[in-house]
Amino acid sequence: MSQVPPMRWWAWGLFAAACLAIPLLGYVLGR
Amino acid sequence: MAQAVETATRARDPVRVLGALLQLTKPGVTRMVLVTTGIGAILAPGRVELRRLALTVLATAAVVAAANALNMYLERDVDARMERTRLRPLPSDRIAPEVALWFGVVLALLGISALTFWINPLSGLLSAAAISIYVLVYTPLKRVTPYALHVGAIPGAIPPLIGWASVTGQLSLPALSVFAILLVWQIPHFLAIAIFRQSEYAAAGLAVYPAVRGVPAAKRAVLVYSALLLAVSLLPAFTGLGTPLYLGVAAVLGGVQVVIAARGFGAADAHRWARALFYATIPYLLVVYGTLALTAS
Repeated sequence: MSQVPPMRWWAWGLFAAACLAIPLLGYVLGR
Repeated sequence: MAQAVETATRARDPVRVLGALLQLTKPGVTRMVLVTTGIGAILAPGRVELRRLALTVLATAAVVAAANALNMYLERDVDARMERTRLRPLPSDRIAPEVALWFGVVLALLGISALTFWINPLSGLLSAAAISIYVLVYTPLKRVTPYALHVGAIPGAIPPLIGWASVTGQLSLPALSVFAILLVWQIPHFLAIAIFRQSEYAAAGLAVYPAVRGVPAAKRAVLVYSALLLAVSLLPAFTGLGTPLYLGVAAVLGGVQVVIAARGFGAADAHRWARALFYATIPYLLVVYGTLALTAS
């Protein structure tokens, strides 16, 4: 198995931001 | 050459790739989430439409499956060091890490979108919060502190809230009482696993409670959280959800779990006791949640 690189925080932060942006968009569109 | 050897074991046959992807989702854990999400929806005031319920449960399962896949992506080094997990798709190199990563990311975004736009934004928001806490906070924290367990219990208890929110579009005290039961239930449940798999987890580099604080401290924590679970399981009766029958069942089962937890102090074989406790926690949750769902007022 290949070596596991350290967690790329910026990339995971971006992932969480994308996850949270979807329902926020839902709220905005639903108003 | 090393590259050729490394990729030789990777699945190319689409059926085997699908099999590996399915394993990444931890189907057993995902199944349990289907039940807890459904119970949240059944308990919520209002009419439950079957089509809407099926969609909620499926979309929640997709987000949970994604969280499990991303967790396996981030823990593939730890999994490779443990006998029980070294044959998982990533440490056994049956699938490329990038495939697991993108599978998890796409599945998460699809599941959250389905909940947001087909059900309501609140259920989407709850699922987004759950996967963010699970992947970004709980997973890295597991290597650092045994209290990661308490953080992991939060996303673990969110599915019934998603079920509830899918029906009502808002959360209320009765919903939070259902959430609280699952939140506290997970602590003795996962402490029990950590006790009987302590050496395996510690050797793989995870800071599990019994390895860091010692087995006697873990036994004390199991008893404290079992007692807290008994108290919390009575809450639905005070939020207008639980009937006297539910109260009786929760009190008796909670009492039994406290007795099993207390017997840990006299147990000669801590691993055997922890295994018995672990197996007792599963029917406990199913019966308590099941009784609540069947008798809810």
